[in-house]
Amino acid sequence: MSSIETTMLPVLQAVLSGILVGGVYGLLSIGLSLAFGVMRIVNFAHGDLVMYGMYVGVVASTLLGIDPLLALPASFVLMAILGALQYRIVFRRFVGHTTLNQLLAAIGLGLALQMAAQLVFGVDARSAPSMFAGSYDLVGPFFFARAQIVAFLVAGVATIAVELLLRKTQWGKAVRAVADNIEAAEIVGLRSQRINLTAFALSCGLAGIAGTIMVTYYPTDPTKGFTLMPIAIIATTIGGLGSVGGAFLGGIFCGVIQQTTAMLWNSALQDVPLYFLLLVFIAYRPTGLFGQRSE
Amino acid sequence: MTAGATPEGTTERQAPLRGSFLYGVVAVALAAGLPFLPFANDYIIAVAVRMLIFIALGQAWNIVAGIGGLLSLGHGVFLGLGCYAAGILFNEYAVPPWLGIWAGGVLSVAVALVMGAMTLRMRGVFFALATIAVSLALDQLARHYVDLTGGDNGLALRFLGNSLWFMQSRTPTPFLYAGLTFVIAYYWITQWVLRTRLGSEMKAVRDDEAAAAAAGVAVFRTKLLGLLLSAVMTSFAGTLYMQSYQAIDPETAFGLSQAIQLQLPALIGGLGTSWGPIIGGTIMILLSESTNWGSTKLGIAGVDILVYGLLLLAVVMYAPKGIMGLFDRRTRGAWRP
Amino acid sequence: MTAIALEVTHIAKQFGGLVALRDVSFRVREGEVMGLIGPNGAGKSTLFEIVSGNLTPSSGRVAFFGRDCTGDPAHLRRRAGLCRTFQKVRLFESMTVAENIAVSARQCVKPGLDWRVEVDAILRRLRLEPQADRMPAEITLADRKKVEIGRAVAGFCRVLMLDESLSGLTHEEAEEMIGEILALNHDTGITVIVVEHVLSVLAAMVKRLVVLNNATVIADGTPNEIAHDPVVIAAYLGTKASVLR
Repeated sequence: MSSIETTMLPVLQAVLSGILVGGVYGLLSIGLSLAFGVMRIVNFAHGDLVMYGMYVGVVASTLLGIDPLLALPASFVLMAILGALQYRIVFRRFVGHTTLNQLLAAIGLGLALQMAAQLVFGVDARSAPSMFAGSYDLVGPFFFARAQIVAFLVAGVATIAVELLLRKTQWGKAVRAVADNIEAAEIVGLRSQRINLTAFALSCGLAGIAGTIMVTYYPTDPTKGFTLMPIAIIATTIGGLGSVGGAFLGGIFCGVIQQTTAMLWNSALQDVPLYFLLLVFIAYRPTGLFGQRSE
Repeated sequence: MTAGATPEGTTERQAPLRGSFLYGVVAVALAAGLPFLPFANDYIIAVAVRMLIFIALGQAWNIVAGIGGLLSLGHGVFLGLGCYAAGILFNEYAVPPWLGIWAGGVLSVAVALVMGAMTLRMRGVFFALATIAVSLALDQLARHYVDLTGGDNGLALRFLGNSLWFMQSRTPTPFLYAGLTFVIAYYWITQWVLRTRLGSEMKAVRDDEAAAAAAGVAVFRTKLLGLLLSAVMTSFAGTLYMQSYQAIDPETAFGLSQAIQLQLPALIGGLGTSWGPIIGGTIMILLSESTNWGSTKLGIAGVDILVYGLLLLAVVMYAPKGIMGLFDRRTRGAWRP
Repeated sequence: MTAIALEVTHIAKQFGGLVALRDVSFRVREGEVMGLIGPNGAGKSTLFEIVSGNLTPSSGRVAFFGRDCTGDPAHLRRRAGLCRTFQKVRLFESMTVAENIAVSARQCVKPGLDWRVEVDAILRRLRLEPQADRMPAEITLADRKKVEIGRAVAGFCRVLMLDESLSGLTHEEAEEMIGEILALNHDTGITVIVVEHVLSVLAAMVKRLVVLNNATVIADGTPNEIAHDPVVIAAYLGTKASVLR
C-alpha cells in the first residue's frame, strides 16, 4: 500500500461515514426547515420530538418485542399528533414572525418535554437495535454499519416524499401559497390555520421518523433532544432556512464536516467547526447554500 | 426627576412612578439588614445571594433583550467567560479577582464584538442561532481543555480562607453586600440607558429597524453597543458568581437551563423595565428553592427544570409584559415581543 | 436661481433578471412640492428606497444638494436632512407619540439646540399636543400619519419624501393633511416629494409631476400637462385606475 493510500483511506472513510450519518441529520432538519419555511417558526422543541421518536423505538423493541423499524409508521403518527397538539396550544399564536417570545415558548416547551421524558423513562441511556444491528458491509476498502445504511435510505426516501408532496400535490401547493403570502392565500379561500396545522404535524411526524430510525444505532436519553438540536439548526441554516431539500443536503454537509473533524483533529471537538461555520454562513451567506428566501 | 423614579420613562413628560423610590429604599434596607434579622442563617443568606446574583444577571440580559430586542439565547457565554477568566487567572497565577473581573470583561467584549459584527446586520433569528452556536462551541472547548478548565468536572477555586483581596469568604454575608452593590449599580445603569439617547435608539431599533434608520438611528451600531454593554455586565456578575460559588463547570456556565435562568427574571418581571428583573429574579429564586426543597422531599430530580420550562411557556403565552405589565398602566411602554 | 435639492441621474436597478428601474433621471429644486406618480409596479417604491438609502442602485447616482450620496446608509441621509415616511405607517409602537418624535429629534437636532424644545415645536406645529403622551395604537390613522411626518421632519429636514401619505384617509382628513404639508413647505422651505398612485389627489397640491411607468420616467410636467399627455393616458389605460380617478 502506498503512503497516499494510507493517509487518504481513513479520510475517505470518514467522508463516506459522514454522508451516512449526515443523511439522518438531514432528516432531523427537514421538519425544522418546513416549519420555518411555512410558518416562520423556529421550533426548538423539534429535537425533543426526535427524542420521543427514539423512545417509540425503545418501547417497541423492549416492551412489545418488535423491531423498531416496524414502529416507524406509529412513530410518525404519534409525533404528528403531538405536533398538532403543540401547534394548537402553543405555536398557533406565533405564526408569521420569528419573535423572541416564539423562541422562548419553544424552549420552554422543549424543557418541559425533556423533563417529562425523564420522569417517565429515567435518565439512563436506552437503545433499540434493529435486525441490522451489528452487521457491517464491506465495500472495497470501506466498511459501513448496515443500520446506518438503512437509516440513510429511510432518510433519503422521506426527504424525496416530502419534496414530492410539496411540489406535486394540491396540499403542497396550498402550503406553499400560505408560506408565500398568508393574506393572499386566505383571500383565495385557503384555510391557513388548517394548512399550517397539517404542515406542522408533518414537520413533527418527520422528527418522529428521524428519532426511531436513529435509535437503531444510537442510544437515547432525555437530553438527546437538546444535543441533536444544534446540528439540525446548523444543517437547516447551511441548507437555507425554509428549504427542505437544502436542509437534507445541509445535514449531509454537517455529517461530513463532523466525521472528518473527528478523524483529522479530535472527536471531542467534532462539532466546533460546525458552530464556527454557522457564524460564517450567517455573516456571509444567510440564505444558505440552497435557499432563495431572503429579506 | 430623582434617580429611580420611572421604570421605563424616556422623556421628562412622563410622571415618575410614585413611591418607586420608596420601594427601592425598603428593598435595599431589607436585603442589607437580612443578616441582622433573628431568623437569618447561612442558608437564608445564601439564597439571598443567589437571588441578587441572578437579579444582576437578569438586569444584564434585560439590556440586550428587553430594551434592545435582541434574541440572545446564549448569554451563558459571558457568564462563563466571567467565571472561567477570573477562576483560571486566580488558580494558575494567583491573580486577585479584582483584576480577573476585568480580564473576563475584556474577553466578553471581544467575543461579543466578533459575534455581533458577524450577525447583527442580519435578521434577529440569525443572531439568536449564533448565540446558541457560540455557547455550544465554548461548552465543547471547556470540556476538552481539561488542564485549563477542569473539563466536565469544572473548575474549583483554591480556597485560601477569608480574604477581601481574593474575594473569598467562609460565610455568604460579604457576597450579600457585593450582590446588592451589583443590583443597585445595574439598576442605575438600566435607568441611565433608558433615559439617554442610547436607550431611545435601542427601543426604536427594537420596535422597527427600518423606521429607526429613517429617524437617523445607526441601527447596527446601536445593536452592537447594547450587546457589548450587556456582555460586560453579565461577565462582571459572572465573576461574582464564581467567587460566591467557588466553582464553575461547562454545564452550569453554558447549559440550557442556565441560559433560561438568565432570561426568566426579566421575562417574569417585565422586559425592558428597570424593576422587571428585580421582581422576576426574586420570584424565580423563591420558586426554584421551594421546588428544589419539594423535589428533594419527594425524591424526584429535575422538577425545578420542569417548572422553569412551564413557567417560561406560561409567561410568554399569557403574560408577555410580565408582572410590571399587570399593575402599571404606563408599562404600555414595556415591550411585548 | 434656487439650488437643486435632489438629483437622480441614470438610476437603474435589477433584481436578478427583473428590471425594476432603468435610466431614471430627474431633478427636484429646493422648496419645490413635487409629485411622483405611476401605476402599481411602475418602480415607485424601488426608486423611493434607493433615494432614501435602503436599496443600492445597480447603476446611476443620487445627489443631495450637489453631494453624491449614492453609497450612504439610510440613517446618514436622514441626518443630512433627507427624510421619509412609509407607505404603511411605521411608528415605534412601544413609545408614546412624543417619544416617537424624540427619537429623531435627539438624533438630528442641530448642535446647541435642545431636542425637547424641538419635540414640543413639532407637536405644536402638527397640532398633536393632546396626543403627546398617548400610544400610537390609541390614536387615529390620520394622527398616526402626522406623527410619522413629525418624526420625519424633527431635528433637521431639507427634503421630505412622503409615501402615499393620503391613502386610507377620509376626504376631510386628506384635505387637512394636504394643508399641513403645504404649510410645512411654505413656512420652513422644506422640499416635498409626494409619491402617490393616482394624479387626482395630487392635482391640488403639486405644481410639478414626474410619471413613472414600466421602470422608467415617461413624463415630467405640470399636472395639467400630465393629465392630457397621451403617453401617460395610454400607460394608465391598461390598469384599473385612470390617471384622474
